[in-house]
Amino acid sequence: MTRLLAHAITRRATGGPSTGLRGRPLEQIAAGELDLWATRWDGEPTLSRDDAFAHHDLIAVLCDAGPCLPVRFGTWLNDEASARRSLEAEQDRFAAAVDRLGDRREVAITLLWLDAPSPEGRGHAVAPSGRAFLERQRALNAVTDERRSVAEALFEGLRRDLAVDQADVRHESCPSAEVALSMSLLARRDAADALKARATVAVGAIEGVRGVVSGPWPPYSFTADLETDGGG
Amino acid sequence: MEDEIGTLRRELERVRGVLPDRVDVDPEGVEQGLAKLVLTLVEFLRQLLERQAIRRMDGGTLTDDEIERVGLALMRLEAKVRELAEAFGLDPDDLNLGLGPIGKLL
Repeated sequence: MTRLLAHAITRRATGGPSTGLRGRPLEQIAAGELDLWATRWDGEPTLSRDDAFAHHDLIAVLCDAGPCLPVRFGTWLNDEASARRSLEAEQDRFAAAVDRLGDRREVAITLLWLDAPSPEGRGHAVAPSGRAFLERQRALNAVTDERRSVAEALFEGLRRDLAVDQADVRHESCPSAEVALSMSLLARRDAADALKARATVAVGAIEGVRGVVSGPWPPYSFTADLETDGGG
Repeated sequence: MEDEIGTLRRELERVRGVLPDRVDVDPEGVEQGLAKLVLTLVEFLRQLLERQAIRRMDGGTLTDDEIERVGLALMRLEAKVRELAEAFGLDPDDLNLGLGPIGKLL
C-alpha cells in the first residue's frame, strides 16, 4: 500500500529537494497557495528513530529555503487526493500560519529539578494501611502543588526577563517528576541565536534547577495545534 | 458553588497531562493506544476520588473505618493501574492526555 508521510507546508515553491526519507521520492503536492511536502511510502508504515532525524533534516532544508511549517513526525496521508483536500480545507488557516510562523525559529528551555525524587521515592510502594496511604498521598500532593507553583513562578520570571510576547511562548510546568519547566519561545530567524544566548544566561542564574537551552529549530511546538486529519 | 467550581478547576489543572497525547490508530499499536487511553481515564478518576477522600478525611466527615476502606481501595486501584500499564508495555508515569491549548489532563 502506498501512503504519504508529511514533512512540511510551504508557500507554493518552484523547486526544492526531490528525495524524501530512505531515498524515496519526495512529493510536492500543491493546493491553492500552498505546497505540502511528503515522502511517497510503499509498504509498511513503520518508522524508526533514524527516520525522525531524517524528517527533521528535511524540514531544516525546506525551512532554510523560505517560510515553512513543520508537520509532526509520523503524520500519514492516504494519498495525494486526501492531502490536497486537507490543504484546501484549511487553506486560510495554514496560509496565515505560514506567514506568522514560517520564518521564525523556536528556542527551547528545559529546567530540571536538582532534587528530583528517585523513582523509588515517588510513593508507589505499598502503604501499611489505607489511612497511611491517604496521608502519604496528601504529603505527595502538597509537594507536587508546591513544585507546580515554583515552576509557574520560574516561567513568569523567564518570560519577563526574556521579554517574550505572550503569543510567542508555550510552556508546561512539571511535565514529569524530573522536569520543572518545559518552555518554547519564538524568535525571528535572525534573532534566534541572540535569544538563545540570553536564555542561557537567564537559566544559569536560577537556583535549584539545571537549565538546558536548545535550538534554534523550526517552530515545532507552535504548529502542533494546526494538525488536521488527512485521512491516514 | 463558586468554591466547588474553583476546586474542580484546580483539580483539572493539577491533573492535566494524564491521557495519552494521542491514540495510535495504527493497527499494530491500537491495542496499546486504547489501553493507554482507558488507563489514563481510570487514573484521572482515581486521582479525583483520592483528592476528595483526603479532603473528607481532613474535614472529619469519614469514620476511621471508612478512611481505612477507601484508602485501601484507592491504593489497590493505583497498584492495578500500574500493573496493567506495564502489562501493555506502558510506563505508568506516561499515562496522560494532551488537551490542546489547555495543557494535559494530569
